[in-house]
Amino acid sequence: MSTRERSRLDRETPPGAVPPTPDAETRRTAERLFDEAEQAIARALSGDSAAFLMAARQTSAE
Amino acid sequence: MNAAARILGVETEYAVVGRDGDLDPLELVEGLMRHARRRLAHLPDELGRGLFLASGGRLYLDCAHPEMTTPECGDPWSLVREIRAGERTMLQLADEWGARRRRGRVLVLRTNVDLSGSQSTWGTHENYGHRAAACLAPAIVPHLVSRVVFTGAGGFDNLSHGIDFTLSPRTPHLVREISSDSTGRRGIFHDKQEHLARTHRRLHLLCGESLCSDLALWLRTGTTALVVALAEGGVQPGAAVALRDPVAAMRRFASDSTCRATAPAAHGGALTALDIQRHYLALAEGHVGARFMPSWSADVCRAWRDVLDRLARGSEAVATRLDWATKLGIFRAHARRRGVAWETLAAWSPIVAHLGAALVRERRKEPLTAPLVFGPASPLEADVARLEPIVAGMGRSWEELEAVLALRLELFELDARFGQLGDGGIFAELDAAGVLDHGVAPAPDASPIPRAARRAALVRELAGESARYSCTWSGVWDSETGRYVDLGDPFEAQRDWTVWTPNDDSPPPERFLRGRARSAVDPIALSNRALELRKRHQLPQAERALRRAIALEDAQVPAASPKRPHRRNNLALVLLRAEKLDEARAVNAEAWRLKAPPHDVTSGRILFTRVALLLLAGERAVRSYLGQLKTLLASSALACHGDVTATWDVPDVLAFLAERLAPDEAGLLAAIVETLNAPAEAAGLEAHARWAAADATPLAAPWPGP
Repeated sequence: MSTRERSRLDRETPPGAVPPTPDAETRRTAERLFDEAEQAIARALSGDSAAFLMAARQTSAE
Repeated sequence: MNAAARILGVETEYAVVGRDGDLDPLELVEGLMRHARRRLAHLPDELGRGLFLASGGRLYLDCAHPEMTTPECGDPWSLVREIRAGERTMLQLADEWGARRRRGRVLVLRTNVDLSGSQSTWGTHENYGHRAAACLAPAIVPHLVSRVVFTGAGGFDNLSHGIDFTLSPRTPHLVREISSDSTGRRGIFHDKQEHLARTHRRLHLLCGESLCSDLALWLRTGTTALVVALAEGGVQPGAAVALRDPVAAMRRFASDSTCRATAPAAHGGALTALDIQRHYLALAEGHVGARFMPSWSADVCRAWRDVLDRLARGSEAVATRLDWATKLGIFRAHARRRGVAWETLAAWSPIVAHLGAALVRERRKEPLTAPLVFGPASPLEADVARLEPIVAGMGRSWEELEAVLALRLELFELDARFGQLGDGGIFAELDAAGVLDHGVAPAPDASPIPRAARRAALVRELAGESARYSCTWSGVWDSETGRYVDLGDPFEAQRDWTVWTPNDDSPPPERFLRGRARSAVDPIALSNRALELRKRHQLPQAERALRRAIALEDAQVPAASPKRPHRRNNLALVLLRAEKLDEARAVNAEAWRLKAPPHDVTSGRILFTRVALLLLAGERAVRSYLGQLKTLLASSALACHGDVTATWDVPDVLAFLAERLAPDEAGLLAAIVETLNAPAEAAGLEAHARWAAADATPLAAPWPGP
């Protein structure tokens, strides 16, 4: 491994950094996704999530 | 063999869900598997519990859930295609099984963890064939640890009892760097020593997850295959990015949706997941075109670079591409709509985790709900009292928790519904709405892995003869003849059947050995099986079984045995059904030549077949054969010299004839069968003009032509 590569790999990245602000196009695409998801979620939810989760409960480990 | 050739495969476990209060889940899944056995062309696997399918892949019941395994694939495009094909099969089976039961839809979920409180997981195991001499762990573990930034399914940590979003819900279940156990104390690197091929070892990974995004799935396969290729090529790709504690690093990376968390490197300093991935990417890009790198390396590297660049811009930049980012975005939005800020969930998570753990201590299995926590008979009253000052110290109120608990269960349901197959699945609906961007680069021309293609062809050819044949990854086995088709070398699949000997490399399945141990094959049993196959329209299999029965029986009975014409006429009927009319006529004529006097019911059946074959061929000269039948029926009660069944079970043949012949012709033939089956109750044959017009003809009169 080259010294340059080692230097790049060894650099400290500050933990807990906030993500960069998305650009306008990314934002618009994501908003469109979230709007569509709202309808899909409304259709998907059973109204009794606890019962659904119990019906889907696994009886033995893989 | 090409050094760059890859062998890739995936095993996926699915959750199957019936209606609330439905059958025991195991009964539900076993019913689904029974339906699969009826519905899908297959050969049984080693133990007879699983099914090798016409795709070359395998479906079986693993513990209490169905598991679908792809056939071996040579590139990531083929693998994604096979996984999706397997999902379509699962969906079709579940829909049909649900309709058959008439108790509501049966759902199939691509999900990874059980969020009801059982803390179980559904596995997705990756397989990479390789020929590296040394252990691959040092080369690949840093990749496996850091690839979660694009391979994570997203969801919630089901070991915490809290509400902890993770890029990879499988990660908390990995407790060691290397393990040989797939169900307990699982490792990031699984050192399974079951290679399933003579020429390759198998890298079997437990750390993957079921994914909805084609791009994520394709990248997971493509990048990991390239890392394996680099290791095979002697590059030692993991050396520069070894981690001090891979398990801790993976958990850290999986818990950070900004992809900026660092983990201590073995050589000092700290690395982000993106640092490690860029290191592997640079090595792969630097070796594109090397003899050990697959031809599609450049395609994978391009997409790999693109996704890493996007990840550096934040999760929204991949929200339409990667499972975890899509989930994170829509879950956040849903929480907002329910009036709960996403960040609030993290604050509440330790409190919820404490209450959840307390519920487990009380041996209660139901999910944590507000009525359970705050209701009059709450088993958690003491815990609530103990937590009171902590909640107050957080500046929060129990009323707020009620909304959080309700939201938590909804999010858990949404997590399970995200990968639901078919209508109603959230990912499927988003995809259909065109708001996702998870497509992959166009597929290059590629040939299937030879042994997968050969296995698939054999399953298609032999399906229906499960008692005789069985299938493994390394061979197809005929317990009746002791032969097998050797598939031990994935790239040199044998075309021909060879007799197995204990010195052969390919280990036979237990069913094959048991079959060999049984006494000689009974031609009558074979013939009876052929009859069943014919009635099920499995005509090639029926023909094969009857030809085999004839070959075996001819070696066992005298030349004048009445079995010989009987068996040949049965074969003629199968050939008739298969519309192989010329072959059928030849075999039927042979049956008549072999039918030595005294004549009996078999003679009548041979004559019936003759008349049917002539009418199907559009020939009207059936008078002499009807005349011979007339002579036969006019004699005393029809004898049965061949010890054959008294009732001729041919409804499928009559139905076939009724579809192809004029009503009067089909009616005459049906009446002949009825009369042969019950001569004392002559079924109005005289009412048929052709029959009435036929003069009794001596049975010894020769047949003209074949």
